[in-house]
Amino acid sequence: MQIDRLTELTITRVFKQPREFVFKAWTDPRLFAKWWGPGMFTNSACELDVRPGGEIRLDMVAPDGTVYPFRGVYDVIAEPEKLVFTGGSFLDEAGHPQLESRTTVLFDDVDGKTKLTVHTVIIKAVPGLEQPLSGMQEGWMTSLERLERVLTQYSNE
Amino acid sequence: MHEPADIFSAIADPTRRSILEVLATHEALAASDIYDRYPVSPQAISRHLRILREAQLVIVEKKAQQRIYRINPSAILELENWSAGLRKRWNQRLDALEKVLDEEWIKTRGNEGLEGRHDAD
Repeated sequence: MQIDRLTELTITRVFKQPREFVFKAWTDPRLFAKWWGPGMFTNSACELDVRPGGEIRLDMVAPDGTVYPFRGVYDVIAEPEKLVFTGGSFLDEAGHPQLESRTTVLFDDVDGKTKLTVHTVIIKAVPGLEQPLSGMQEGWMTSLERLERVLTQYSNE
Repeated sequence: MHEPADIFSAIADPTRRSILEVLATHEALAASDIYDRYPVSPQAISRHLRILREAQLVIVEKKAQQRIYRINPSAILELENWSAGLRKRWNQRLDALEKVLDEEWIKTRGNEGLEGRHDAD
């Protein structure tokens, strides 16, 4: 049994745009707020202090008005190649995240396109998060369905 | 009330990972058999086993003078589900990123947009 397989995740994907452009979508608060979070959620108060030790502050607002704050800290910033941050959500009363992970994002140039590699390691997840997470999952699903509609429209053009 | 143990903190430690992997390849192991496998003191391993027990990653059964340890299959199943959910959320997040990138690219490039890039290829 490989325990790592269950607590770490690596995803790669190629985007059409150059890596400077893709990197910006991770570090520009206006752009980051557009895609980080479940589809039916809106993001408010997105602040990104893009420097080592700088803070990530984002409030994700559910359709029912519940606010899920996301808080993080940048560990490594090497524009436009690499970004490492530790982030958490589901804060308790003391502001400690109940779900925390460290994410490394690599932006590789492939003939003007960008190969993105996301490696995330779960640091902490307290029991009892399944319910709020599955609620957020539904939000993500809605987002995916919307994307599929958009893509279908493109391909019909 | 005891604070519920966090599975991921329990797993984060390399010795505890190793104990779990050993238990996964055996039906059941007595605590003493587990101690024998590690160069550190039995007390240290005993502490690790307690943390794994509290996180419900292992199940313990007392038999005569021995404590028999087994992996808890439902905890591993929960981890499998968690891991699958995490992958799904990241994929959906990157779908959303892709959409934003395409929209922004078209905006900055005007009508040329993505078509302009194809011409350049």
